[in-house]
Amino acid sequence: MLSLLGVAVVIIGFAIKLEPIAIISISAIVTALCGNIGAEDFLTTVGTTFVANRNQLITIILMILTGTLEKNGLKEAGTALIRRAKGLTTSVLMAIWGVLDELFIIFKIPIGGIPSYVRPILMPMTLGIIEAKGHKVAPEHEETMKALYGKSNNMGNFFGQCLFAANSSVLLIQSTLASIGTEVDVMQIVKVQIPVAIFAMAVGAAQTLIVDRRMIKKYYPDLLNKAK
Amino acid sequence: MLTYFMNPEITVSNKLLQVMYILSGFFCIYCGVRAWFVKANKYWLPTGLFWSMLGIVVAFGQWLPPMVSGVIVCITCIPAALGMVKRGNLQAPPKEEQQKNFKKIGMKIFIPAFGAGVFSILISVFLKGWSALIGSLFATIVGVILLVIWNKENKPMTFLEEGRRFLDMTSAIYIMPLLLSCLGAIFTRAGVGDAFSTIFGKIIPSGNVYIGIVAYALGMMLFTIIMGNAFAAITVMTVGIGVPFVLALGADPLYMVTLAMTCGYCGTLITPMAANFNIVPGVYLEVKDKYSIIKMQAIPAAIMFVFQIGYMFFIASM
Repeated sequence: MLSLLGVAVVIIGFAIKLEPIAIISISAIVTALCGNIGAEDFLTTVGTTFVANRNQLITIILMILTGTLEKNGLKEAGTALIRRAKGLTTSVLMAIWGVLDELFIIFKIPIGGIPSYVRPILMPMTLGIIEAKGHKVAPEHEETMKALYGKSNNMGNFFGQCLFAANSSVLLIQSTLASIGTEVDVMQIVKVQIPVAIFAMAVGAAQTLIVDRRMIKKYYPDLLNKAK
Repeated sequence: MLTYFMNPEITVSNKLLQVMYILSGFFCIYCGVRAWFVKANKYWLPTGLFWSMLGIVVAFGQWLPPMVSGVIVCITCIPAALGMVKRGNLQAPPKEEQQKNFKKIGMKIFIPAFGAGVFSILISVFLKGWSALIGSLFATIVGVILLVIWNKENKPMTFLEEGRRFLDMTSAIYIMPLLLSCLGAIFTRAGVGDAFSTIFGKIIPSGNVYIGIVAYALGMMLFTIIMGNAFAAITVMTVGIGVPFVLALGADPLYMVTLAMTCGYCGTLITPMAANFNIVPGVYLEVKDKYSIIKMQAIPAAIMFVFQIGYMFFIASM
């Protein structure tokens, strides 16, 4: 039972926001001390596990490409792509962005993100759609847009990431399964997650459409009538 | 090392995987050594130590004795745990340069960007028995070649330095999932799982796989809400609840553990503990209510949670 102290360290550590790697290190040492694991045994276990699971660091190699892609105009290409989406309603624009955001995660394309895209490009565009129709954007609507963009980014990230085989979450699932004696290939994990990712995409888009439409109905009902 | 690569019994896939580790490791060592030379901030010494040590164990892990790897990993953890791994001197390329290059290359730039995902899928479809992870290696090689052809200004140093900028940005937190795997192994050796299942055995009625699934999924979610991190929850919850109350009753481990992870993510969506996902983006967007993103996520999180429980029930009933 004493060995549970290590788990307590993890819970308390994360709850009071210590440096995550410090928490893990302290927890490992506490667990080893309480569980009578000797220094040699400890080091061997850590070494073996780290080496066996270092596939979780596989995306290092992609960074060699990622940085230069940005330098060569990947972000600009993304912006040009977004600018083509003229004539959409705010609801549709935000819903499409939500779907694209998840696709970028699935294919590990280094685009997207709140500071690099939503803040400088998408928010002004979305606000511009309403303003172009002769309305002042209602503060509540603007806040809702921000929350919707933030939400789409997280939904896409969390439920899309397990569709990229080399993602650390997939590899952590694989190593957890291996630790309980089940060896699986990463692609099997990806397949299990496909329905979840698709469903998340649909739920996210539906919510964005419904919530934003409600705002439009509340503040500028004439926009809806024109659409009919 | 040479004998490993000459050994015909080891598959090409595994050899390529080792090549990938060696390249990744060398790249980390490069970043570490550069940090020592550049001295971008007062933590240049621990920062360089972190990346160099990590590089050694990534590149040569296959051939180092496990205990030596263990010692190196512990050394790697020291600067990281003390918060002494800091960003270097590199800034994003100026917008004008990005625009100029975009005019030169255009929309084609998306082709190498899609590479990693596409190659992983191609490998898993056409190359039976090969690891999908090698897709990242192929994507990098092909991408680098394309970028050099399209823009003569992309020199080897461009790739190394731009890559270093990204590695710097990811910081030490990058190795956290891997360290959690190690912690999981220590937990297992110390019998934490057994202690846990004894405790949960007093709370959760065993023998009903559906109750077990709900307990496992809820456990993942609650743990994640408290800690703000599903990665930290998965090992403990799997050994403590997953194995004794779900998997012991014959449910398919592949589905159960995989879905438990994303059930944990439903917790991430509704906790302010996961500040980097739920609070910080709101700061960038200057939201008036800092919890507005979390509030917007509550309903989809609940829907996703119920959907996944249903999915697990369905698999368990087959």
